[in-house]
Amino acid sequence: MTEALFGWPPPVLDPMGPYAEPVRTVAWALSGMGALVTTLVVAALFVAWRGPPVWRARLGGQTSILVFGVALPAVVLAALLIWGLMLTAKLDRPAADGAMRVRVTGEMWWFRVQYLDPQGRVIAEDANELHIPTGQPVAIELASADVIHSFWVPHLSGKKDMIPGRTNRLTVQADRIGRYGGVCAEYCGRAHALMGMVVIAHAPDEFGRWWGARRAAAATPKPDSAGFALFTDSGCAACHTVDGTRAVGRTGPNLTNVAARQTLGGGILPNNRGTMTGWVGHSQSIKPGNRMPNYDRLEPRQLQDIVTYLETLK
Amino acid sequence: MIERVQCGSCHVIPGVDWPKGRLGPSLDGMDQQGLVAGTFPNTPQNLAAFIRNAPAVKPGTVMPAMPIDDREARDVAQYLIEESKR
Repeated sequence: MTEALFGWPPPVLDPMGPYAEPVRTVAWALSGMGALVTTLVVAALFVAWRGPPVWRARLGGQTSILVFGVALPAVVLAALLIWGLMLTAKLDRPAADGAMRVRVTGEMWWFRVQYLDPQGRVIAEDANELHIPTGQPVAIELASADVIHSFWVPHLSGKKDMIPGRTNRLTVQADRIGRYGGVCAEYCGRAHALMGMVVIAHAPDEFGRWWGARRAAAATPKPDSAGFALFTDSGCAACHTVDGTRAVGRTGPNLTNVAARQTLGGGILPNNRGTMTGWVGHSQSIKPGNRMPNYDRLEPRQLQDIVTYLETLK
Repeated sequence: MIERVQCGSCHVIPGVDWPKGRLGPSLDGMDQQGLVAGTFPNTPQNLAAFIRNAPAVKPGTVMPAMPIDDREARDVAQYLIEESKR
């Protein structure tokens, strides 16, 4: 998750697609203007403090105040505003009809990811991980299940809020294959700082293979095992869905392909048997306040069986 | 290495701010610890062997085999012992 915020160059200044380019341009312009204005103010302060009397009188005169205090800011700010609006207008252009559609819903504290068909019906559900093909715009519908969150994958676009009761639209495009971190960018409660996700951009043919595997995971019948029985009997299935089984809980992330995901816990942990065990057994120490209870009352054998079962879900 | 596989998901580890997992025992103080996993004398070799493939040396333990090699396991063991001395 920290990959969204750290690194060199900083992700926000390292656009990977056309919907992030203007953000970088604006960021540099803002920084440049800020530096310029700071320099001017410091220079003026120096003049007022140590400058020759003639300069000081001129600086304190009415003309200076009107020019530097009213006219210049009005002109510069208006020009910057118009330029900025023109630049960022492109960001709001909806993706063309036929573009891939995805809905991402902010939840406390993770991202529900749903792949939609052209009519807007959900065809696959995932969590904290969005796979996209490179080189084409992807239309994302942003929603919230509870409080205001904000979707931010700095390599691919600016931030956009996820607001309860409305759908915001955002388009992203990745021009290079890679893995791009994202975070929630609007304080949303206790575990806000541990709410992340990853966007994985594949070459188009590779994306087709991934999509085929994801669809197969949903369609594969899953034989009952000791682990699955425990999964349902211990309460996991009350909150989690595994497609094609009687586990149909909706509160937590869909786990149909959890073993194939790169992260656990809301984009915060690498996915291996150790982190999976730690998360299932005692998630509250990893992500305090998250909505999943600790399962530290299971027998060690049972915990292992559940993790073994989860590892088969890919 | 500890950050790559996130040992902290289950263990409190000296020098690691997050996560501070509580499913497994805290590993702060490994330099003073008598036994590894309550079973083996606390030598760097035993510690490394347990870190790399716990179920092989102690069947039934919840700790899984970790996706690291022998050398990396020795590095982790050494880190735990050295860091506990600070």
